Amino acid sequence: MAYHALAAVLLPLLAFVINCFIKGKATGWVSTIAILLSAVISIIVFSHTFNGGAIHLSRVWFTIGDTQLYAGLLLNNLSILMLLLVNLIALPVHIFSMAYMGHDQRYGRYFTCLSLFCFSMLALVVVDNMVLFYTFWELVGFSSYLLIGFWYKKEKAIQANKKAFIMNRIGDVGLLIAILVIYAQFHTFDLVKLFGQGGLVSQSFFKDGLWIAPGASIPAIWQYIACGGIFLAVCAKSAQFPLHTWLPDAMEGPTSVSALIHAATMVAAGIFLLGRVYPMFNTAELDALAFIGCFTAFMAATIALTQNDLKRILAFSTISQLGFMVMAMGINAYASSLFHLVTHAFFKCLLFLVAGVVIHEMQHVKDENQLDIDPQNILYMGGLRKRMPLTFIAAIIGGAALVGLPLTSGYLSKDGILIQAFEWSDTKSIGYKIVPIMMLITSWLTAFYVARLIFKVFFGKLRVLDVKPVVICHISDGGWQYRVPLILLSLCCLFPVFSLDPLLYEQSWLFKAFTTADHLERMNIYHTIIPAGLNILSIAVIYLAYAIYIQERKMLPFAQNNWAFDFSYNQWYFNKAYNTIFVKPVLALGSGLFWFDRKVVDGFIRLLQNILLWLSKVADVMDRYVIDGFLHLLTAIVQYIGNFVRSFQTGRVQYYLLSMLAVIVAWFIFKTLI
Amino acid sequence: MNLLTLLIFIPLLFGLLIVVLPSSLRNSYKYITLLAAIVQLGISLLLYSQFKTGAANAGINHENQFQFVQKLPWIQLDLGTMGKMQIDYFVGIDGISITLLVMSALVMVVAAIASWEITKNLKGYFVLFLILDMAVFGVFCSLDFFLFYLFYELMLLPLYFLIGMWGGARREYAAIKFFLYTLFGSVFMLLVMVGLYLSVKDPATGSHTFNIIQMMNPANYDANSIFSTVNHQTLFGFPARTVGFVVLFIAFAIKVPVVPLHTWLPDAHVEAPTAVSIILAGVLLKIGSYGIIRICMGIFPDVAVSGSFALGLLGVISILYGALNALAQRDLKRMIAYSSVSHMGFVLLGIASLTTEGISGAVMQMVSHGFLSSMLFFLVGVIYTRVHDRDIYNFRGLGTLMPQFTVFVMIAFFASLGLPGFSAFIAEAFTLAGTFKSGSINGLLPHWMAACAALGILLSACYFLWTLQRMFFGTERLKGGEEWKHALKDINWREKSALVPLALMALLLGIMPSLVFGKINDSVIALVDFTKQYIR
Amino acid sequence: MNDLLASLPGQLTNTIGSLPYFNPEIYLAVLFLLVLITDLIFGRDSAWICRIIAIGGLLIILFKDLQQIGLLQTRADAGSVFLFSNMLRLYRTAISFKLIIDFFAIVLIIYFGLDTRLRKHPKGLSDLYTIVIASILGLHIMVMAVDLLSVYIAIEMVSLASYLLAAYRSENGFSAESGLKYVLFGAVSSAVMLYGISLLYGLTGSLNYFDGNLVPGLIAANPAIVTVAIILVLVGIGFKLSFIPMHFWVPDVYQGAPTPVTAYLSTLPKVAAFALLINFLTPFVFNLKWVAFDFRLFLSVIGVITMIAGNFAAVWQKNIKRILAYSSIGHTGFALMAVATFTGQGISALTFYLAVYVFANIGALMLASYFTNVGGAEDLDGYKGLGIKYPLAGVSFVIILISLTGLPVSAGFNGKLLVFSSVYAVYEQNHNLWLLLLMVTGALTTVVSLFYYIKIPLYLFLKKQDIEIGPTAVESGNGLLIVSVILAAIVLLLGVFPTYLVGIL
Repeated sequence: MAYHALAAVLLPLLAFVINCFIKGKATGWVSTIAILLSAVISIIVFSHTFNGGAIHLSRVWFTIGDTQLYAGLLLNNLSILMLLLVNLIALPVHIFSMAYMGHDQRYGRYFTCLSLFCFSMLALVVVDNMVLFYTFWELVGFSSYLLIGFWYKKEKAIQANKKAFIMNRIGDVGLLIAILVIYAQFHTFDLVKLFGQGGLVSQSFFKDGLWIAPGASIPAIWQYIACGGIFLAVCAKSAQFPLHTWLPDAMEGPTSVSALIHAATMVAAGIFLLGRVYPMFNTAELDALAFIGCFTAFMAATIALTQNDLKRILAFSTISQLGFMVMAMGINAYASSLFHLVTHAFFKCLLFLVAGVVIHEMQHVKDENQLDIDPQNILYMGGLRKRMPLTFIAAIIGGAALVGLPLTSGYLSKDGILIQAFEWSDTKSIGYKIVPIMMLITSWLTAFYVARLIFKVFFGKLRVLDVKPVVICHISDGGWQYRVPLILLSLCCLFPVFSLDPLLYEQSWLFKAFTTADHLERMNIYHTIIPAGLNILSIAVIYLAYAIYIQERKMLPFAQNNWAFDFSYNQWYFNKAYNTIFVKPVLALGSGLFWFDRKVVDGFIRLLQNILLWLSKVADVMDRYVIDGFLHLLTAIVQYIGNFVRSFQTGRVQYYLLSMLAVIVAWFIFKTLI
Repeated sequence: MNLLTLLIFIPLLFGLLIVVLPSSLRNSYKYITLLAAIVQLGISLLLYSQFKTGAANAGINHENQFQFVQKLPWIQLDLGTMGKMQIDYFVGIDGISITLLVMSALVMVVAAIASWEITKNLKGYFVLFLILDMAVFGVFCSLDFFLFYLFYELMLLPLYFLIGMWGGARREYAAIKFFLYTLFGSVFMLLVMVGLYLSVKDPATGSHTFNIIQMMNPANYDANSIFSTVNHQTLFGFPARTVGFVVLFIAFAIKVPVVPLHTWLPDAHVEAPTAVSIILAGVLLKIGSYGIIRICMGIFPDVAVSGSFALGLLGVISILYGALNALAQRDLKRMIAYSSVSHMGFVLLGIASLTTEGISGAVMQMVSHGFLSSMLFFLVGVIYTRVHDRDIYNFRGLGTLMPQFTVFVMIAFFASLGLPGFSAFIAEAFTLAGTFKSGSINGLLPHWMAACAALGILLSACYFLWTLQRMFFGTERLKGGEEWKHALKDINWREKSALVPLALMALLLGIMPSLVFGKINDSVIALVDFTKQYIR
Repeated sequence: MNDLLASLPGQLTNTIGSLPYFNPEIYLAVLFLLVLITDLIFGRDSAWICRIIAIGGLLIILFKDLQQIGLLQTRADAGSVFLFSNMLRLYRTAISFKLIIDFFAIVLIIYFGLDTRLRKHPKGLSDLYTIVIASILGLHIMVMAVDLLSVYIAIEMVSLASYLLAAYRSENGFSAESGLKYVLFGAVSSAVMLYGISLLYGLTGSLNYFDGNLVPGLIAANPAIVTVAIILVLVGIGFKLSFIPMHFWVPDVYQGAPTPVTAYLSTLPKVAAFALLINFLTPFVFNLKWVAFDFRLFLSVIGVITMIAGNFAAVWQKNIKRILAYSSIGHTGFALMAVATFTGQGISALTFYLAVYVFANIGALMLASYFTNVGGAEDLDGYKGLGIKYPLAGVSFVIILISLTGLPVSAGFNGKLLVFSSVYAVYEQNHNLWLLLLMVTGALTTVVSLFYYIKIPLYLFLKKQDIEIGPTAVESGNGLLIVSVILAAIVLLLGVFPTYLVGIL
């Protein structure tokens, strides 16, 4: 089976390599067939090994110093599930893309990148050690970078992909540091050895300020730093507060890409990471996680209320739903979290594809009539339900699942999370109640914005007509490449796929697969009131939305000019804040240091040089003047003596004699005295 | 004929050939040079394939464990009172050298290809190029300090002229700055070298020796000699061995370059012609770090251990400082120059950690940066030769004009910002792993250093992506307008032939690091054990 | 009177016995006369004959010097013999110095013949040869002199010759002035030295280093006055060595004198003077009771100052010859470092260093005059782009400059290495801070020296020529070029295989 899994992973890589060398329509087929095969294989693998205990296959990759590094696969329930999920999502998206990107001249490049992404994503879920995990963790980010910036001439797109990559890099650094700590502590990268049953991590413990592991110890703070690093990584990939701002911008990429990467698979990688390293965390850290998730979910939901860009609404709802999962991890609802991950993947992907179809058609309208409208803006849409019935139905199903109405998969997973949230808060002090309550509010908000979206897009009348009264529009559901994926995914959003009992999440096979038996009995009242209350109110909310957007009743709190609206519309001003708090200072620091480099560091060198030159000048000058001075002095003396002597030369002999005599006399006197 | 000797002196032979050829055949010079480089590459690959691994071939401080050794008595001066001055022609390689040799050989080939765009007085250029080539290989191979120093200094003058005669606008300034900087380091190195020579006695002959490997053995030091290991002499009140280490370290740190001794690098790079930048970044910087490993660590392990904190700190500073500076650049080449300051910081950090991971990572980084920086500078050269401008703000949307070129740029950028799958990732990851581990196992470097250094990876992403977005994406807009548009043709086969091998190597080493680690492991382990005894 | 008679035979035997060890000098004297006569006989166009004779003669003398090595080795007493009642001392080092002097004398004489300007001189060159040979005789004696009297004679002999040479081509004012300066300085310093000598004599009643009570007497005498006396003597020697502060004449004279003469002045007398210094120091430093005057301190201080001042002053110069003049001062300082070791190794290092220095210096000056001939270039600006135009000369100039700077691979580097190691060796015995300081200064000034040495290649190759100057009228034969290329080649060769030179010295 391990080799099957390997094949499933490597097929997209093969497609990628082939596509690097070929061009044109063929590329689409290569990628799609590859993903199809890999999907089939993964189904086989799944059916054989799910709940069948872990399979671990590894070979030596290389040796550094005396440590050996292994490369291998780890197939346990988690990874097998993800393997299947990714393939099942990727397949429809591929099919969809063949039509959606059909007219793009860089069609080949698109599928090349898509295959690269699929490969890295599949590899990410099956690898068995931290180094490889990090490798594919970042490759996933890289391929998403390529796909976000696919239309590289669009200024916004390339800004967005830069932003996405850098924000993910922050997370990567966090993950890297975590890996360093773990490696220094346990001397291995192997996930099984580390986090497996009774693995090294579970053996480690705190003791007077130290984090003790078999064979090593380190100040306890580093354990927290490691977990902080992991959180950072999760926040970056799964777009949680504070690193969530890249995801909405990432919507600049093709819609099919958003459906695959930024709704279903890559953004779920963060949750997956949490699942992989779950034993790392202690209670405090899990609580922190819960709060992060909770806050993000609420914040994103509020923002989604007011956005007008179809894809952005979905993006924020994604952030919010991911918040749910993170929170679920935090409150120890491991199973529900993963359950929600899976269900969310399906219905969010479905919604994005719907959005894709709609946008595609609106684009047509725009092109055919040379309108100056943003095809993604829901304010121009409306009344599409007659023109594209299939899409409409798909949207309804997806929306229902997103809201969590009964009979949908969303109901099962989401209610599970909420119920456990309440149970969890019971075990803690009163302050923790805020988490489940905010989650409740969030899910009502969800109901509202979903309703708003659907009403604005599919009901009422086509508002393009307001811009230009007469427009030719052949709007339809599109060809089979559009229909098939929608149908497939819609089916996956219904309850039978996960549980035969439409109401009890505990009964779903997926939930069971990740929990031990004791969870299963319904021990308290929450299990009845919460689903009931939640859904009744949700429906009420939906009716409210209906009242506002269809019957167009004026309601006070929804005026579009109060601070709350602006606050939400501007996405809580995060982008502005980050720009002023982080980006600008770093750039300033950079240029400051460059100044320092030029003026101070280099200046010092130049100073030395100048001192040297100056010294030499001094030496030189002194040289000249001293010598000439000396010379002139000398000549002066000579001249003086010369004059003195010459003054005797008067040409008179008697003077000569006299002077001679004087000298002799003087000599005699001298002799006699001494 | 010893392979190493052949490897070292092949360029000289071809250089002589060029000297004697009349300038009517000047167009053949570049082919001759390229041939020389290729022959060298062939030899180095042969060496690589024949290189024996295993603890018995670790090298480092065991003379008999070196391979392809050639040892000939060279200079015998009878100095009366103090015996003979015994200088050998002594070359040999161990794990640490072999990988660098192969890397340098490949870089030299690329540089040779890059120098085809040189137009004026070719004879001088190619002769100097080949002399430089010889010197580089000599440095990597020589195990006799005198020989090492000879080759080390021999690199200066050719570079001075290569930058000064074929360089850009402010070439004279850059050339002199480079020359003085490096000479400043190496002159004091000379003093230390002489001091070592007089302190060390070859147990076999009993006379003083320049043999580096003998210098690594504390037993060979005279008791009352200046660098004696037993009774500690002082120079100007500082311990003599510390002074010696510091002087050598400064000499090499200038080459690496380590902040704050780096300011010659940006100028030199900006002014130098493409080929010279390639050699400078690809090979010469490695000579600095190689010297630190082989000479500083090898001969002064005790000081290296006690000073490793300072080294690590310098490394971290270089990483962050270089990266932040790169963020502020407008000139593409300058940006890359600063980025290599940042990347070489990892090397120093890894060496300072004195763990197997750290040092292996450092060597890996040397090799990988060798390929990547050559690639980067080559790419800059491509633009510069077309429009003679490098200002990032003057270009926009090159992706549409030069798609293939852009692909290579993206490969180079992402590889050097440490994207997994490329060599730089392995190198940097394990350098950091070693650094962090050192805090736990030998306590030389505190843990936070690794954490800070990790920020360098983030910053590198920032400046590379910013450049990518600014220059290559977006709708095309060029300062030079139409004429630039015509000038900016996509890369031709010659340029591809230079770029493809580099890209492939970066990828290959990223996927199969064992190509490097397999060869160096034993030496690294030996080095770590060798230094371990001084850690208390 | 009688006692004189009594000692006469002894004197005679001593003198006669000395003659075999005095061979080269006798030959020199003969050669001098020969050249003089040839000059007189052939008159105007005797130059080339004189040259041939001179060169031939010097070759013989070189051979004779080599013979003396063998001659010494036969003797029992440690290869050292006193001549003419201890006036002179012949020993191994002295012979090495003689070899250097004679060899480069030949090179110089060839050079004289090749220099265009000198050749165009009305007086012709014959006298020049005569003077040079006379001066060489003086140098020989200088090298061997171990008695202050003979020292003085030797110095005067050399000085007189030098004066003549320096002012040989005194048509332009500048060289005349420099000649005058030279004479004045020479006169004053030799006078001062004479005073010092007389003081020493007054104190001890002896002028001889080795016998008589020069040293014991001085040990007995009052240190203050002894110091004065010795310093006065050192002033005289310093004038020839041209160390600070006795260097003032050097730049002007070197610049003013005809280039070949500069080559002569900056090399041979210097070399001989070093021998003189060594001879003078020997009796003192090897006498354990000697404390009055710390020569090592003195030499170190002077050395440091000289290195610094010489190299720094050179940086601003524009005129090539002036640059080389200052560099030669710097080199003196560096060589003093070797002297300050007072060890055999130091001396051998010194001889090697000096020999290499002379090689490089003569080569440099030759190339300077070559460029003057072909490009009319006197100072740096004139050198712009000449290297590209005359690559061979340019390259050999660069090589020679490398050697002067002391970078590998060149003889100069080995010289530096030897000096450093000799000093280090001493430093290891007595941790004398001054020696360390000397070495550090040596290293530092090497970097400084690069500042001005590098300028020449900079102008030769890097700077583009602004105004295209065609081949000037005086298109000299390639003789100069050939010789200087050979010199450069030798410098390079000695860089790789210094053993050859050391073997001879």
